[in-house]
This record gives sequence, C-alpha cells and structure tokens, in this order.
Amino acid sequence: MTRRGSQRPRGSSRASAGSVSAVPLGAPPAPRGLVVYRANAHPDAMWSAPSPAGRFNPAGTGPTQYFAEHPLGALAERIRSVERYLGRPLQADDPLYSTLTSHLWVLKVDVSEMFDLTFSTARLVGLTATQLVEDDLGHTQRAGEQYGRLASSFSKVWRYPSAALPGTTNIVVFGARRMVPYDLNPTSRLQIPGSLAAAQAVAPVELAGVMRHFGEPHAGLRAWVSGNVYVLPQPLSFVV
Amino acid sequence: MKASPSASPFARSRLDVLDKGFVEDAREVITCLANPEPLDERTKIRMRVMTRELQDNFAELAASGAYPDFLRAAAGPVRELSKAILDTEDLDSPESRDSAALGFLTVVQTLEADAEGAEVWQQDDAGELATWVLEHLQIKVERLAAWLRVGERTIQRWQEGGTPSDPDRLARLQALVRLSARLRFLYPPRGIVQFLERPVEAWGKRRAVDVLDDEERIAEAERLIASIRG
Repeated sequence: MTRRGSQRPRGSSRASAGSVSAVPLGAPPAPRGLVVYRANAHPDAMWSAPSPAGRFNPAGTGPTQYFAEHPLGALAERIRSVERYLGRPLQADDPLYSTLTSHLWVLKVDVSEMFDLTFSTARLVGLTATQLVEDDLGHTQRAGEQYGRLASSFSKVWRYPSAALPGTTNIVVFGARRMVPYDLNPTSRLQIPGSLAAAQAVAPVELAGVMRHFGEPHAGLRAWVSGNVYVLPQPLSFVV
Repeated sequence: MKASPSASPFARSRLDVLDKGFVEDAREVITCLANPEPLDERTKIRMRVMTRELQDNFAELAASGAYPDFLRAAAGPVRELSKAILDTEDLDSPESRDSAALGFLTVVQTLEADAEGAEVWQQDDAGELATWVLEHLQIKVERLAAWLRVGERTIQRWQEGGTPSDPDRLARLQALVRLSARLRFLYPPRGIVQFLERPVEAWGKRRAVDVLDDEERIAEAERLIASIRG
C-alpha cells in the first residue's frame, strides 16, 4: 500500500509523539520518551556487555540496543533473522516460525537527539538507500561502527527503516544502557524506562503475510524510488 | 553455588570457579540501583564485599592460568566494576549508580555468556552428553545415532560408561550439544530438531547435523543463533 506525496517531516518533531502529556494533578510527571518494543531471549532487555551482531554492529564490538517502533516490528526482525540463517523465507505454519519464542519488552527511549536515517539521508553515513535494508549487513555494520560508535560528535540514537517490516521504523542505540522501572523518569541517558510485557511469546500468524521475508524486495524502498510512501497493511484481527 | 538459570545442568564453567552466587546477588543489586530510593548502608557494604570477592576470585583464577579465553573476556568488566565500586566514595550519586549498575550487568552478562560458551561443552563424558541430547531434544536413540553416524548400540555403550574410540565422534557430539544448548533459549524440543535438520542455503543445503565435524560452520551457526537471540 503506497501513498503519494504524503511524506511527513521526520525528526525531532515526531519524537514527542510517544511522550505522555496529560498528567493528573499531583501525580509525578510521566517518563519522556518514545514507546518502543524489543524481542529477545535473554533475562535482560538491554546489553551492557558486547552484544551479538545486528544491523549496525558486528558481533562483539560493543553493546548495541535495537528497538522497533511498531509492536509487530520486533518479532518480524526475529523471524527474519532465522530466515537469514536458512537463506530462505518461512511460512507461518513452519515450526521454525510458529514455535520461535521471545520475551517482549516495552520501553521508552529518549529520542531528543536522534539521527533520522532514512532512504534520503543514508548518504550522510556513507550508505546507499538499498544498502540500508539489504540482506547483507556488512555495509550497515561498517556505518554503525564508524558513525554510531567511533564518531564522538555523531548521535548515538538512530531511527532507521525496518528491513523486516516495511513502512515502519526501528531505533538503534549505541552503547551500554540499563533498564529502570517503566514509570520512572530517567536521570541520565544511560537509563531507559521499560518493562517485560510478555514471556515466551510467539509471532502472530498474520505477521507472515505483511512482513518482508528474506530475499524479497523491500516495499518501502520501492515506494521511495517511485516518490511514494509505503504504508504497512496492518492486520487488525488475529487468530488466537 | 547457586546455579544461573541459563547455565547447563552439567556445565563445568567459570561460574563454578567465580560465581559463588554472584549472578543472583548482582541481579538483586541491579534492581536496587534501578529504583529511585537512596541505597541503605547494608546494600553499599554488600556491593563492596561482592566486588572485592569477585576481584580476589578472579585474581586467583588468573594466577592459575586456566581458562585464558574467559580471563580475556572478563578482565575488562571486572576491572570496570572494581573502579565503579571500590574506587568510588559516594555510591549514591546518579553517576555512581549508573556506573555500578552497568558494571554489575556487564559482569553478569559476561559470566552468563561464558556459561553457554564453547569451552563448557568440551567435557569428554560422551554418555552424559548423549543423555542430555536425548532428554532435552526428546528424540530417540535412532535419530541421534544417525546424526552422529554411529550405531545405536554405540550410544548405549557410551551411556553405560564406555568412551568413544574415535575422537571425531566425541567432537561431533560436543558440537551438537553446543548448538542445542543455545537453541533451547529459542525453541521447544520440536523446534530445535527442526532447526538442526533444516537445509541451509549458504552451506549447499547441508543441515547443521551434517556439519558437526566442521568447526568453522559450527562457530558460524553459533554466531547466527546468538543474533537470533537478540
């Protein structure tokens, strides 16, 4: 699903979208930040020790945190990572899809100093639009190391197009972070409020129909090339 | 020693040497540090004692010369934690609390990663390893025998205390346990078996169980499984 000419300005103006502004009188202010999702299979939401390889970091180079802005995004990325191992897509009825379990976390990330890495701005970190979402992670990992980790003046929080769920965006945070209670206002950039939302969760069947599987073209990239914006055809009812 | 929930039931890991309940205690401290209340004196003393004990145990291990890979991986985190806790007067300042929490978390994550690491599975009790696979993957001896390219009777002999005559057979079994131990964080037994038996395009459609004697492929699979874990 594409929408012509409806691309809205991105960047700090959207950062306030996840903030809670209505606070009852007498209540402490709610934590600032953009609500994001993370799916993993660890007892911790985030890394302080060097993390495994991801889109913007090779294995073992330093702690790197990945989040999805869309609730389906984090699970889509996990399914796609299994597909990357196999080198082929998975169907929803495949046990490798239907029994992959994840802890699902909800967190609030401070995006006040965020770099908006889009198909249009990819060149700022030495990438082409295609490299941003391609199956091979080499280019994006090098960009992450060069700009996200080593360049001290460059933002440590990036928003970028999801390779697994076109039409949605992910957030990467370079460096160690720790989770504090969801309703707590962080007192430093090293703290991210969050909570576990589900343990041993599996991906909904419907996700398989809207996610971008391994080897498939990226609908968001194709729309951008044509001057359009891809809108995720999000399922609204789910088999339970 | 209190076992980490992620540790193998028969892991001879560095947790055995260093842990002394450290992981669970550290997680309690990390939770204290995540809450806004000031730390009480008992918690501050506990943090200093835990760090000092860890430092001493680590020094003892380093002096023994054992586990060089682990020592390399953990030296930095132990040093950083010592700096954050033992070299800091005011443990309650916001900066100190961040440094302390991240210091403990880094050591915990390093210890847990090590407990799942390759060296852990290099034990040579083939019977124990085979029994672990049969129980955790809920498969029959026949299937395991096919994966390892041995007869069913051979596996039964291992379980009765026999040792593999061919070291390659033991190496294949160890590689199988290494992968399965990591996969159990992702899949139930049925999913683990599916994962191990699924053809991989990049390996010319060979399956993980076909490359158990290829250390390079097994290490690659381990890295990919780590990425899937997130």
